[in-house]
Amino acid sequence: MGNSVDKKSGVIFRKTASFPAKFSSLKEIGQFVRKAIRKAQLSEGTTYKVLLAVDEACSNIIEHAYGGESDEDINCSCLVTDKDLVIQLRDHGGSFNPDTIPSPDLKSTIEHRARGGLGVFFIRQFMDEVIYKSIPANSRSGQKYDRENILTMVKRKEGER
Amino acid sequence: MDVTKSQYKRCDLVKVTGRIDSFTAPKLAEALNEITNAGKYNLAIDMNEVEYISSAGLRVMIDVQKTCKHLNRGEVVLVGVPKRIFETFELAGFVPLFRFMDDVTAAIASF
Repeated sequence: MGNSVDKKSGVIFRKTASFPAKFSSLKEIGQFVRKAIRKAQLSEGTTYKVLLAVDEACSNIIEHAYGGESDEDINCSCLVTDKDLVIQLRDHGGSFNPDTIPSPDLKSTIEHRARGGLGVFFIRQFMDEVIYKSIPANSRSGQKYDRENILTMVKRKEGER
Repeated sequence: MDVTKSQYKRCDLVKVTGRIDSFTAPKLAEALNEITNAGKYNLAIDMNEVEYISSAGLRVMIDVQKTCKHLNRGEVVLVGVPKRIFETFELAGFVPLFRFMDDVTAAIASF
């Protein structure tokens, strides 16, 4: 059974779900994203990398945007087109812009090895495009939250490693 | 994730199975700290059945290695690290910081 493609948009699969912003959700989020990865027919190696990137991004949302486990949600939407897999993560916590996180020094000795920064580094290494947007509510009327943060990660099917 | 510990004459063996993520990493850290807090710094970690490790898990590994190598009192040896997970260690630049072995018995005998 092959995937049916909407000829006009190229969309093969689209699904959205919300999860509690708790570390215990990470496994479930992985299972949710895995369905989209399967539809995108990515290799086993790429599957591992995309799942790791999503896991790191969600961990950062819980840890940094929400400042720890919270009753708020992480909203995850997956879109598979004939060209790529697009994963969007939305939260309503504080702004945590991955662009502001410096790459870790991978050559330093064990005594001086920094503990942070690896998660964002993995996301950048594993995904083809990473776009972060933090939108204050006043620019979008009628919202019940102060802020919406949107992390968009794209994995292209062509030339996947 | 499950952690099983066994004691040997010259080292402690810790077998980890399943997912090491931000949810389970604290439990792994606790298990490893129990050993180092007891003054034992030679550790073999059997990773043959680890499915997945995120940066939270890597941080636990680097922390325990720092503790063990301090004052040259011991070290952590990683055993049977699956391919995908080894690639993550490589990308993080962690490969030079650990001794990797294929065989659990050989790892125990290496201390």
